[in-house]
Amino acid sequence: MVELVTNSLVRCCEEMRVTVERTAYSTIISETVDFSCALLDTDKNLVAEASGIPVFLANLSEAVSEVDRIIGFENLEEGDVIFCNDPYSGGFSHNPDVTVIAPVFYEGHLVLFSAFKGHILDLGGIYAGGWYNNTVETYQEGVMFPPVKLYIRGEPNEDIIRVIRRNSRLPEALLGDIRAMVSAVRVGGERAKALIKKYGKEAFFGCVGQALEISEAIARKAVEAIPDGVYSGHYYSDGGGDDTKPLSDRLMVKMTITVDGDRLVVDLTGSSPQCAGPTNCPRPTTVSQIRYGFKALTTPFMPSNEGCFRPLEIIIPEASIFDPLMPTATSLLWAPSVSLPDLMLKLVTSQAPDKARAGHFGDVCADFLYGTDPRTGRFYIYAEPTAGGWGAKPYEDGETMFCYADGNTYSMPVEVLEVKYPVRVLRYGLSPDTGGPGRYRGGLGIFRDYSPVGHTMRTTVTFDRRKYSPAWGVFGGKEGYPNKVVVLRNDSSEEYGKITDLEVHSGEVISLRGGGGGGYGDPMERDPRAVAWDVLNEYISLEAARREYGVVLDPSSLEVDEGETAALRGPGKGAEQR
Amino acid sequence: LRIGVDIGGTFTDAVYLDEETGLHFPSKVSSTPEDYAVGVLNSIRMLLEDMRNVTFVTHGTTVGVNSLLQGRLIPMGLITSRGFRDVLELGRSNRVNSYDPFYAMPRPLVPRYLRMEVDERIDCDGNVLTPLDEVQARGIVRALAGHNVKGIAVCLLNSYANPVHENMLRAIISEEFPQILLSISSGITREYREYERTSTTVINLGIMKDMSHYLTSLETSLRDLGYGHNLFIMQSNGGMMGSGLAKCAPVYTIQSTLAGGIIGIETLSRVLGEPNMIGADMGGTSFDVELVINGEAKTIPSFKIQTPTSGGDGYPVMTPTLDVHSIGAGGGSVAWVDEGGGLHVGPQSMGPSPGPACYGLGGDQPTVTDANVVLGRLNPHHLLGGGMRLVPEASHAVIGQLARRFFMGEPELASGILKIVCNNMAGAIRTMTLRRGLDPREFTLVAFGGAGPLHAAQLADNLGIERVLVVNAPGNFSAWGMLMAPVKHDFVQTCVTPLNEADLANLNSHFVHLEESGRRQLLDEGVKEDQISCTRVLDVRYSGQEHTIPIIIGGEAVTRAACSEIASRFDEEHQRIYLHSAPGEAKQVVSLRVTMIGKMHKPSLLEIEQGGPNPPQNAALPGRKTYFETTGFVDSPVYDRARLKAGSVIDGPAVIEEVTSTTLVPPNWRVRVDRFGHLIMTISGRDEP
Repeated sequence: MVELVTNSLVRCCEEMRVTVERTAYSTIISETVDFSCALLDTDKNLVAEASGIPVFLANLSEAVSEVDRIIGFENLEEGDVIFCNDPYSGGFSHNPDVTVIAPVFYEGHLVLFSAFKGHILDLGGIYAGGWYNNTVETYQEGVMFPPVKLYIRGEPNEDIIRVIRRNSRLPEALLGDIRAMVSAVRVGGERAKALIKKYGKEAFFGCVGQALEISEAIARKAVEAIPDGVYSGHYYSDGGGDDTKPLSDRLMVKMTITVDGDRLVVDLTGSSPQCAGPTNCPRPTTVSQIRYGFKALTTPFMPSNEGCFRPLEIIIPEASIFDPLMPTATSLLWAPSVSLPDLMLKLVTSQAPDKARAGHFGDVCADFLYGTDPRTGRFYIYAEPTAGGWGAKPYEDGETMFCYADGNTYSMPVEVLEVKYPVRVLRYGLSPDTGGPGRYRGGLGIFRDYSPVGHTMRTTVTFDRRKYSPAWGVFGGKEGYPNKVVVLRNDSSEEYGKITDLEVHSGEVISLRGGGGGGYGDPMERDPRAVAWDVLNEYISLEAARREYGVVLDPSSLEVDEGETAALRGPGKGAEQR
Repeated sequence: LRIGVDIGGTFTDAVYLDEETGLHFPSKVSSTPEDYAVGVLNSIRMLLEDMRNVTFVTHGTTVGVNSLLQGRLIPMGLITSRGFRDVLELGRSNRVNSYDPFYAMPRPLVPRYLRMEVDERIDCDGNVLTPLDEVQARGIVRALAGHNVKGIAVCLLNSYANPVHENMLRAIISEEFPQILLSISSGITREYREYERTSTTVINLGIMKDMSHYLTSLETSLRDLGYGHNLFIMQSNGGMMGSGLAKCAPVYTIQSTLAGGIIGIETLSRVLGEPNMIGADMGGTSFDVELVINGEAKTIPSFKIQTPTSGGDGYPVMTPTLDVHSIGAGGGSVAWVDEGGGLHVGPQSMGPSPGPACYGLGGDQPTVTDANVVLGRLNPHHLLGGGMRLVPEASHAVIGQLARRFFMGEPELASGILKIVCNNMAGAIRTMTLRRGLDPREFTLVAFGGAGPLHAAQLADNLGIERVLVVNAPGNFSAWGMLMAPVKHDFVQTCVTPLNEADLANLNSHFVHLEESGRRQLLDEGVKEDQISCTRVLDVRYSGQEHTIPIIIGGEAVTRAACSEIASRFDEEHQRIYLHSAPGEAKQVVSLRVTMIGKMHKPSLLEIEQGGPNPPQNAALPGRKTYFETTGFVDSPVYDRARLKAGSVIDGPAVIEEVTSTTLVPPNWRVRVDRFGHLIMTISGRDEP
């Protein structure tokens, strides 16, 4: 029965997800699935979720708490829908992530919250889009809504809607997306109510409580399986500001994990203080990232609820990049924080080679393209993340996928993109020699080249981890190739990690390059036949085979030269080994 | 005379139907995975030796999907537009399990060195930006042939808008290497999304050789038996296609064997006037769930297929398919114990050989069928109408061994196995219904497949369903359903345009063109002009949205007035499905779809003889002890289904046996035989008058 209720609740959230996915206007929601939906109880416990992006996980419980603090649960009525995006009050990430929450009433009593958080396009701010590399205060990053009633007793609150409409460069798409979100939280609420009716209120909430306890027990067991100890490590984020005008540089992300029986403590003490520029992550989003990493370590295949996270304790220093104070800019909140889960995995598996995985390319690698479509005369904004290489596993090479924190995000089909936007995609593929060498190779990075058609396009790109901390290797594996963006002008080229509102003219090309993943194990131990296969498929070059892997191949037949390979690799690592 | 043949993982079933009398006869033989044609011919020969009077054979085949599942694809090359050879490998770069740090993506079915790029480019409006470099193309084709590929797939960017370069490549390849197999994306679908289209094109090529060999040899054997007409193959969309087309477009048959069941249910739903039915098809290997809502089965425009190399997500196949959900649960499903000591059943199955222990063919694993033998639910002596003898001692041995591990009695453990498998099946039904906000309790459960009627009541109990219908000849129902299928071809053309200012001439000419090719295909397959009908659909969305809703429109040319009517129907649909709409907003057409149907004569259901509520004396077979959780072993009467009359009422516990299946009536259930001979099972006391 508990399982039945749990599964039904997950299905409620799935239905919310489908509703939004099928009816949203922005491709960042419909195709790239940059959102989460969840049901929470009145104690702000996460009861069930369905996610494109699980890093919104903890935000939603914090958002519900904020609704209580600002509006008060006692002032909520059936049919109300709450809206917020304030990074310091209810939104807890960056301004374009909006949260929509519907209180769910059963027989006149508030019983649940149905909540949705997703990325929308443009709610004001200094440039089109929603995030910037060069802001220094949250006031520059778009209009902010603390929790407000978007619907009152089922009727739209036209005052608020007028303000939203007036503050967006793309009001139709924005309001279309908001309609889809409101519809989703209502669907979630209705379905949940039907379940309560079916099982009876007491039995239903009894099951919910039990489900949290079961999840907690399983998570604790998983923590117990991790050897006790203190694990510590760090990486760097490139910092805030455009490359042409940096605001802060080399931010320290420092983590200490203490495993003690069935408890796991993640402590970010030692990380950089909050910085000039927008690379600061509000505390609830930092918590979400750590929860995400924790779940991946302990209960990756179980439905999420609050119980999964009870064995986890989190320490975050105040006024740091992971708990900035108002009005610090937070537009690029992901840059320092998206690799927290990856770092957690690295630290707790540092003594467990069979459970380890090398680091991934480590950033969302986000871009948006905007301008006026010459075909229609209308303003457009296209936003997307970029895929890159993931770390090699203890048993096979790394994958090429979206960033860890991006969850089940889908790339935009080129054919769909070209219909919708005045942009031509010139090529999209894997970049040779970008995966970190290792016994198992890191996943390759990618290139994706755009050229505007018949107009001048503007772009903002944020590719962190270009200067510091490329994807790390583990157990002797090497680093992957870092992220970057190259702009090819008629007679010059420019390279960027972060640049805001850059012009790209017709005939010019912007080439997005997601970096490669880290390698696993000593590359000199890679099976020479696997190296030859990589050369045949141009995953690596002939030179890299020799330089990185010590494997000498005949340039035309790609036969392994056993003698020279053995000589290069040294004793015990020669081709004859396998 | 018409014959339908359906291959399953364990059995191959055939049904032969006399069109004049409406009588039909089933047969069932073991599937022959080493050469499926042998089983197919065996199943037909059990019915008749001479096929000269047979006018029509239709066939649901697993050959295509099996060569994909077993990784027996031919060595292939793929030609793409310059800059896009990695589309197949990158896929959509998503992770269906976001939390899994070791997630694996689908592995590309063509290795990178055999994916070659050619200089050419067409824009999204179909304009040629860079003409195809034919000299280069020839070089690429030769290079691929030099790598000994047996087939070449072609998928160029934006070819859905203009296939001219794909057609030129087709000509070049055929000219250079006439023997090489070919799969051209625009020949399979004209829908946008390059990864999904490439994947479909490549899968089509990969399974082409197996399919074409199989069909050719089957055709020869059928001719040897005197059959002189076209062989028809079931497609995923629930329609048939001629075997000629199936040889070059086998990707349409991936879900071939799933279609028969759902068409059978659709037919029953119409005849019996029961709008909502859930099909529960349990065979030897798999359990398939089908839904009929308001008398109709749902078709989806594409699906994903899981294979051992497809990682977490599966390979996309962009062909319309009936919406069916399958899990590994059948009579041959194996009961096993995990490291932690937990008992599981399936998804792995013993298949036709060695099969369950009771087959006596060397099977040494406890299966669902063995559990049923131990509980006295299956006749310990005959299976397949006496054609197959069982060895009940072998079932007791394997179940007993497992029972001792759990310190349980044999019947308790056997009962536990059945509970687990029913729970798995109930989960599959919940996935299909609850996901859509449907309550399974509002449906009739239609039980078929050899093992369906044996577990139907327990499954219904699990789901709270109070009404079960056991079809006639349940083990052959899918094959029977195929005889009810039309010949059917789906076409699509992506053509993104605003609905209120659409270029109507262009839109209408697309429709006419698609219909013309469909009509020609149907006529080629022997369908008569007056049997042809067609449905036109527009995929519509609010401008700016990504996803669409299909709107069925009339067959006449689309006019401005029609467009505004379509717009308001779209608003209504959007409101109905998603609980919101925006009537003022501009709408956009994304794709045109045409379904061409060649209707076949559908024989009516035969009524059986009417009788009183007491089953005829001669229907009683020797009773046996049957185990139920609530009662333990109890004496249960056994009936011969063939001798029951319409109106017969049987209260559980009871067992009803027939040639291809066994129906179990638990203690709290009652069976009534309807006028067509269907067994209507309801929970006792809640029976309709």
